[in-house]
Amino acid sequence: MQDQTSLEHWFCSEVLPLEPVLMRLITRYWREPGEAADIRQDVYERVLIGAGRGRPHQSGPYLFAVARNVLLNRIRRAKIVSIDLIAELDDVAIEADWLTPERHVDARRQLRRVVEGINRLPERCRQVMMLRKMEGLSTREVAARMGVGTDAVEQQTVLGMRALTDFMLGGEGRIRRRTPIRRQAADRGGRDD
Amino acid sequence: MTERDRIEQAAAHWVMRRSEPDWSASDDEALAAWLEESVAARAAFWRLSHGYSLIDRLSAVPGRPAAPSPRHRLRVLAGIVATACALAACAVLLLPLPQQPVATHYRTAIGKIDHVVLADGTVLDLDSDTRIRVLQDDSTRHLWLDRGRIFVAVAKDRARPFITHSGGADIVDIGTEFAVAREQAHVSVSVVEGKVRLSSALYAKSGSTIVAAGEVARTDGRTTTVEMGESKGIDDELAWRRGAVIFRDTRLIDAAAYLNRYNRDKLEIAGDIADLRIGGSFRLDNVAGFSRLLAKAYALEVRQGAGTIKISRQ
Repeated sequence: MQDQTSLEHWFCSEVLPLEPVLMRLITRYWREPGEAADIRQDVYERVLIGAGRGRPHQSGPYLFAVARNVLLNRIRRAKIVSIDLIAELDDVAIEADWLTPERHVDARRQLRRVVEGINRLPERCRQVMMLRKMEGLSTREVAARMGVGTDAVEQQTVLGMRALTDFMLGGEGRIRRRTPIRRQAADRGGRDD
Repeated sequence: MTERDRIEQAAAHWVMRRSEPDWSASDDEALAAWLEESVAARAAFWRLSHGYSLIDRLSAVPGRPAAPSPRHRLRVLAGIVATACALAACAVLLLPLPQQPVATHYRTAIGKIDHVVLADGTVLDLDSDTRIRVLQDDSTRHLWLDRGRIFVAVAKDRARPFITHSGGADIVDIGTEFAVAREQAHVSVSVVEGKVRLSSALYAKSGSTIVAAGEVARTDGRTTTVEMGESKGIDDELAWRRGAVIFRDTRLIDAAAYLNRYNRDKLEIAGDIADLRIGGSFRLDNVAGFSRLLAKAYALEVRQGAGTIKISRQ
């Protein structure tokens, strides 16, 4: 249990701040934007398995080495492979300057990002997040306050939490919906799936 | 829905439920078992709870400007953006905290009135059936009134504003003594000494109201009304601190609801006498005396049941 706590801490403080760079790397080498989040999850899974056995000396280069392997595996499994892509990816040198700028996002910028993320949410979702986060209201209290069911509040919270996390960690912060209407957007290259 | 999507959805549910007030030890075990299932589950859960905690920074807002900054394009959201501008000034102080500090919870049982002294010297009276959370660090002092009623005598500290959150209302202390009561969607603030600034957390555009000594403000988050200069009103509002209540031309049904907050035997008032007006000063814990009075003075029938006292016409 102690191991898991320290692993979580390492993951949140060393790996998650690099998510913007990781996402850029993934979207650069993987043409299907809808799958970027799956690849990210795959990378994190492997990173945690590896770090569970022993922490790497340098988290950044380790993360990108894992990402490169995941991408290479996927590219090799893909039906149509661009040779250039593999060659290019093999050369991915994780330069030091990839790591520095995002590492210590200053406080002011991060706060602006929180506000920006909240503002991008649909109105009802935004209200739910505000009531929860600013007021510390529970699901039931938010529901009573807004005059909606607790199911709706839970649904909006989950949507908002996922979108905000994506946004705060450097992704798009779009709401994911599973309704067929959104398919077209996904086909056109949206990140929803 | 991909496997990753399914895991993330489940992880988000866990993160959300973990912050609910009814989260229990058995929930904790269930979560641990779920996390044990796969590394992917842990990755998703840790990532989302980290992301979700980043948003907590929004809650540390020490008051917000009445007028939103006109430069911003998003009109509807201007209030929040204005909040951010106010925040930016103190962001440097608030943000580098490595971990989210944990709030201290206080609660009182039905019929109990508690006296609490906080770390900063602020003195609180907690009314019966009240729940609060307190969070204090080097730069801020926050108190959330989740349920019930409190009286606050704030210890002076210019560097750390004392902010009380309740319902949709934010009460920023400028002076010293005030009481806050929360009843469903309404919050009322009675100021005994000094001043407080009352603003809405949700409707930033509605600006803020200064409530001065002797005033009682009521708000539902959208609209706020202030009753002026009725010191008798304040005395009435604060009678609970002495274990008493003063009714003045109060509907019987409201008086019963009030006393029911303090007693396990609940008064049940028949519909046809709900609007009967009563007055007087009563002990909060003496519901038996209250019902005897109703029997004597109003010739009503009082029937004691298991956990209930039924009041009706004879």
